[in-house]
Amino acid sequence: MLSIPVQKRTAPTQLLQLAKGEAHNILMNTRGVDFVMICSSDGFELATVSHKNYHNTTKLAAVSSSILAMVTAFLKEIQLTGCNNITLDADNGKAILTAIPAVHHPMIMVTLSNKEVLLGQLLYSLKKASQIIAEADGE
Amino acid sequence: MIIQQYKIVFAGSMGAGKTEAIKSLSEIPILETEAFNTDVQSHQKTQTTVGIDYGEITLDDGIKIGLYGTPGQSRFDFIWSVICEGAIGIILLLDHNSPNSIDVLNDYLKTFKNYNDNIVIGITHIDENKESSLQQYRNWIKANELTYPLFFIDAREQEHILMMVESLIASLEVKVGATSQGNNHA
Repeated sequence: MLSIPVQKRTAPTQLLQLAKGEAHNILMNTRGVDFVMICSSDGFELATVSHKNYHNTTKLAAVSSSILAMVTAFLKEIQLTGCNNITLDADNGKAILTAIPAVHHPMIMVTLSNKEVLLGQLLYSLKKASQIIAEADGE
Repeated sequence: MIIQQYKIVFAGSMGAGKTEAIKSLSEIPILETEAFNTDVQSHQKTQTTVGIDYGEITLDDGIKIGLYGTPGQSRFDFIWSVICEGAIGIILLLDHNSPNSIDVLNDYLKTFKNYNDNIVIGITHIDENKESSLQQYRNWIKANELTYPLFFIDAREQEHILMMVESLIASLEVKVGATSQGNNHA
């Protein structure tokens, strides 16, 4: 990652298209999912697909990157390695932050759903999507 | 057991050296929340803080200070007030290379003095930009009738950062002293 030239820091269009496609699949194939956003690990919105409009997606991207970084730091402190995802369970819905450990362009997938979502199915889909995007970045 | 610990916040512009300053001062391995920096227009560094950095130092008199670092970019401003909660003061670092550095300083000061007015200002990367005058900061502070201590520092130098921490504590003591004197007279 350190050797990436400045002009190649942002994810290429092809990778973003693939990531957006994966986000779209999750939105369409998982009942209860309202919103999926791909953002860079430093908190920039890169692509969004949604059934519902959420205001201020730029702030959502920044907050998501902060939360993931802080939880990762916490896990490191207790000798756990990496942070694959964080599930936040609220009274009226769920938010899931999924790390996309792409070697050159690490990203985060932010998924918002209602409370009836089948969590196991969603987590499985997110894990698969994350792997597909990460592998594509490594090619 | 009640653990007596104070908190100092490192704030300021992206790439000013906040994480580096905490690293240089902390006696424990610092907790970092860095992410790959894709915003090369703002700064070309590889990693950038997106959460809270944390380190610790124990002063000669046994007082333990928690060193908290903020992300510099305004998109992370939601976290600034949270980090500044309960702090005894703020060390505001500014990259001398920033275009319009006085405006940048003004913006950060305006925001952070709302959280805590005990502020010490440190101008960093001064060796990388010799064309731009350092006197401008003194002039600006004077023109605006501000009393914040101003330092020109290298964030990697422990002595420089320690000097700012001590200045911050001294400013606090003066303020507390003035307040208690005022109360005694009342």
